[in-house]
Amino acid sequence: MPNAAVAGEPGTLMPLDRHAKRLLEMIAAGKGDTGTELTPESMRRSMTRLAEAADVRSVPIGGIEDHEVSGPGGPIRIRIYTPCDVDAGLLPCIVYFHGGTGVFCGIGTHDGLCRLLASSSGCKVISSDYRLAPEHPFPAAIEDGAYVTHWVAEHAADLEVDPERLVVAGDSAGGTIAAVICQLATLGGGPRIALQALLCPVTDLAEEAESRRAFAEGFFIERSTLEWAKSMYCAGTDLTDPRISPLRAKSLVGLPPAHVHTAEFDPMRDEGEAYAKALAAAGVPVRYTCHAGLIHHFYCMAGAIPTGRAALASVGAAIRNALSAASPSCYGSLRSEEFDV
Amino acid sequence: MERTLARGMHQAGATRVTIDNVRLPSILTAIIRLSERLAPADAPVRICAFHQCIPMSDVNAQSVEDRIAGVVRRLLAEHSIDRAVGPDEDLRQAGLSSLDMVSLVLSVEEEFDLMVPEVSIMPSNFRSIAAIGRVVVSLRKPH
Repeated sequence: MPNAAVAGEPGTLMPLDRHAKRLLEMIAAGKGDTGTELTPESMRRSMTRLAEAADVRSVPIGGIEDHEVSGPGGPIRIRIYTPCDVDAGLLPCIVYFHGGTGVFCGIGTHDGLCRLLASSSGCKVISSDYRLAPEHPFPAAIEDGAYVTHWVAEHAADLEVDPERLVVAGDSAGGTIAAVICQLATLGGGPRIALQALLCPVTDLAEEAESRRAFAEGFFIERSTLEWAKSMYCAGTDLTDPRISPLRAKSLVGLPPAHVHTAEFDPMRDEGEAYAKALAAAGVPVRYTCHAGLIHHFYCMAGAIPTGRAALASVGAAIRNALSAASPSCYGSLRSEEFDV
Repeated sequence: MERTLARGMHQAGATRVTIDNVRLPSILTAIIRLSERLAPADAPVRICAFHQCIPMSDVNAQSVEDRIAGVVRRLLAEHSIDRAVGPDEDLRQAGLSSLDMVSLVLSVEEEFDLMVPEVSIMPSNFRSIAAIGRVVVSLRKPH
């Protein structure tokens, strides 16, 4: 993976990707007093518009279907992506949870990401919505995520997916959901998860890691926005609850093998790395990649950040390799830029 | 005056040009009026004859501004804001957030099939439709 580097080690920091830098310059150019107040609704609309402008396009896909699942709090929208040129038989499946601090984004804003993930991994991708705060604060998102994951496992035959090759994945706050679902499934109640793939996951809201301070402003998602969203999503809940901060779980023993991806210039970089290390310390096979030069949310702006597109494709390729390997030995064949821990 | 002409061109989709309140040299006006009488009202009007009389940069700038205004209108519509934004009006005050600025710049780039160099991405260049128009016109000039 040519764009990977172990961030946080002196001397290995890469420059900010020039396309990512351009996007950050655009945000900076729009700073200042605006005529509108920041609200969940305005943020949702801005993210929708951003996706229309920056999402990756022209990704070939075999098929896309929208469905609704009757969740614990009402219908949950899911979108099923089938890759092109699939072999006969059951496909591996990725249940995907979008990010957005638990307050904004949805399956629409992550459409390009899921297309690319399906095409690069060869998996059927089932992208799931979940209830958003402030209308539905924690733990609504976790409940919906867990429900959909169980639903997919139970309906594997109908969905024509292989229940033995079920991947749970997500980015940012969706990465939190994916990580928590894996913890809950391991604690009891299943289902069996073959792999967890976490992109720039939020793993610790209780304490601010160094990267959160270093990239607090000017790196796409700002501390003030994160705090604003946290106040709505957590709504007074104990921030050390492992369903909010999965890094705080008492034990990570027995969790599914993990692919943890971070971006070098991301406030959430250090907590992602810390989670990878904690999983490894608990004996979980882990493949950790810090994508050099990239920023948070790069995977949803891959149309404007070519290296982001390549990085996202590598996320899918790694999943494909892991699922095709008979044993966890794939975690021992990494290039020097990455580490398995 | 060039602005009126260009706006007419844009709105008419280049099929008919409204020239009544444009102060053109009288001989040119006469030629155009004659050609209008000769041509059916819905027939395409060839306007290349008087391009030389109107600075191309101004014609382009107006057409560019109209297209940028369209991009801004679509962005604001996303925020359920349905009103015209003046060419010199501050876009942030009009309701665009800093995240919307990314959408705006990328959409403008797509609209004109160009890439704004990093050095040009600064607040003063993107604070209004007219300012963005100047950036686009300068990037479209043949070098």
